[in-house]
Amino acid sequence: MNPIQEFRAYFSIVAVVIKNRLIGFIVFFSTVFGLISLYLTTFVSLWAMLEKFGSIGSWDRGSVIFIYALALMSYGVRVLFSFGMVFFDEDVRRGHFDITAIRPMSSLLYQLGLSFQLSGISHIMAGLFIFLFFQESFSIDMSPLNIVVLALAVFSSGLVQVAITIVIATVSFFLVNTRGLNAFYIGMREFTFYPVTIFNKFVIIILFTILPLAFTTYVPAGIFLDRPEFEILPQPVWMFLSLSAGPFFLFLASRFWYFGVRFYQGTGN
Amino acid sequence: MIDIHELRKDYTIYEREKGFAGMIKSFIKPRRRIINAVQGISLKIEKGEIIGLIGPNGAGKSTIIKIMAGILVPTSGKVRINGIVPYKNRKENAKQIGVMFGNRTQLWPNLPLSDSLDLLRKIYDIPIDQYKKRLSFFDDVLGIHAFTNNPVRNLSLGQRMRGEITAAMIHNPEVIFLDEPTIGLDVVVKDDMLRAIKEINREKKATIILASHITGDIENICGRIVIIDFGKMVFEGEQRKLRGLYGSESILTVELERDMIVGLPPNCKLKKQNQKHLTIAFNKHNIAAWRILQYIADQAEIKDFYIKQPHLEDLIKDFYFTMQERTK
Repeated sequence: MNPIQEFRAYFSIVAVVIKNRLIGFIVFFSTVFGLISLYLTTFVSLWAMLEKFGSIGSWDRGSVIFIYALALMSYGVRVLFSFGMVFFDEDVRRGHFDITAIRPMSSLLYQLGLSFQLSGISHIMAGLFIFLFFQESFSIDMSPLNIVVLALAVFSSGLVQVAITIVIATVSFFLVNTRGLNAFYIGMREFTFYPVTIFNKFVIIILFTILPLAFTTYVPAGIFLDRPEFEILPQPVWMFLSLSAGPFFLFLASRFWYFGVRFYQGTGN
Repeated sequence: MIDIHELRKDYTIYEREKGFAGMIKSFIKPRRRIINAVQGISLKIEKGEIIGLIGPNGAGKSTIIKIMAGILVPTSGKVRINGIVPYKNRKENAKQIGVMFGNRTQLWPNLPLSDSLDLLRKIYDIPIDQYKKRLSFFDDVLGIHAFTNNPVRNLSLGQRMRGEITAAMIHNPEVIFLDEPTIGLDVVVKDDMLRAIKEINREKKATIILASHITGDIENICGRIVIIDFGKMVFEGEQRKLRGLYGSESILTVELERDMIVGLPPNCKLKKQNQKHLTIAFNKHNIAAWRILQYIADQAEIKDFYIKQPHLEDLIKDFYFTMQERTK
């Protein structure tokens, strides 16, 4: 199978996954509605905090809202393309990966297809809503080019989270369960809702390296908001880093995946 | 066609000790144990053969199949399927094989069977005309048309298994691995399935490797059998070879007109007598059944009789028994 055929197969799997889940029509829409409400409520708490303090560190209210909107959309991309991977340890334990391994396509792409979660659109919608509603407070030039670049930056930042999800899922080939790692990731994800510079250096190093969540919101926000701390590198370099972070970390994650697959033990029948 | 050479597969497991103290101990210092699931198996399988892998649960049958399917990487040894090493070139190998696990579904529960099959058509990139031909073939041999539009979760077990077989073979694979395909099926559905497998082998010249602990399945359709025990191949050959070695004892049951004691010729043994019914064991190489019957007929009037050849299951029991005796 060439890459085009593989992606065609991937989209066919996604279509079947959606169809298989959409049978619970009411369940699906209540999930989407529930998630949107949850994030908008969380946003109201953030808003109340910003009303009181005016800013977080040197980041004014508009900038923090922008970061929050980015974080939601980025997480939405992660949920959309890889949420099912969170439970991959269960698939490995029960031997369900056997079926993935007998298909004539990339095992990662097949598994990602199965992991597609349509409810990710609720995070994206909530983020988009906040972004559009508060657009004036963060003074970004909304030229068509900027909108396209911003959309690509969000997608790339989402892919960084997909990459982290894949790495954690791959650990299932070595450890019995990865619930702890997933909980750690979810905990660390909270940092994406705020500018990373407000945390201590140790956290910042982690967010740029081991768990590169800084690329999900902090870097794109810094570029679009023309933050002074980003002057150490020319803007095109930051832009390149932001747009290539997703594919780059996804590539590293896929290498780790193909290494891990060799250690799959399956289960007895 | 399939060449397996000195195949080995070890699993690492971490043992947990009993009780709370044991749990703490295992948590702090887990005890690692290596399980030798497959121990140096070599085997050649020709194109179009139907071969049966027999062995108790945990013997290593599924592991061998999973290595051939490219799911598992062996610890050592070599496997080639039409020249392809499955665990090195998994995707290429996947195109030429079909796999069915009796206890693992490849169908989508909420969707009609046709949706699952259509997805496979796209994954295997099957041209639409060939796909239609395949569906028509499976309808002929398994009658799937009657339920292709029903959601899989509403199908009976027998219908679902027919669907599973179709899903495993829709891309016309050259080699088919069936791992416990009849598990949980009733006799009628099981017979239908086995007939279909035979038909697929005849029609498509597909090589079929059937792993089962149900010897009846293998007896019906496999020419050659391989017995696996504790990861080792303990027998390999045609069924008739096993019969020659362990199946020499046939059973003759005779019903007399009246309840009476009769004598038997040499080279046969009275296993039991229940009023007018005699059960006699004999070796057909030493004495013919008609001689025994003639001997009895000289003493009493025979009402009825029948001869039972041993089933594969009996042969395998004898085989294991002999093996155990030898190791003692």
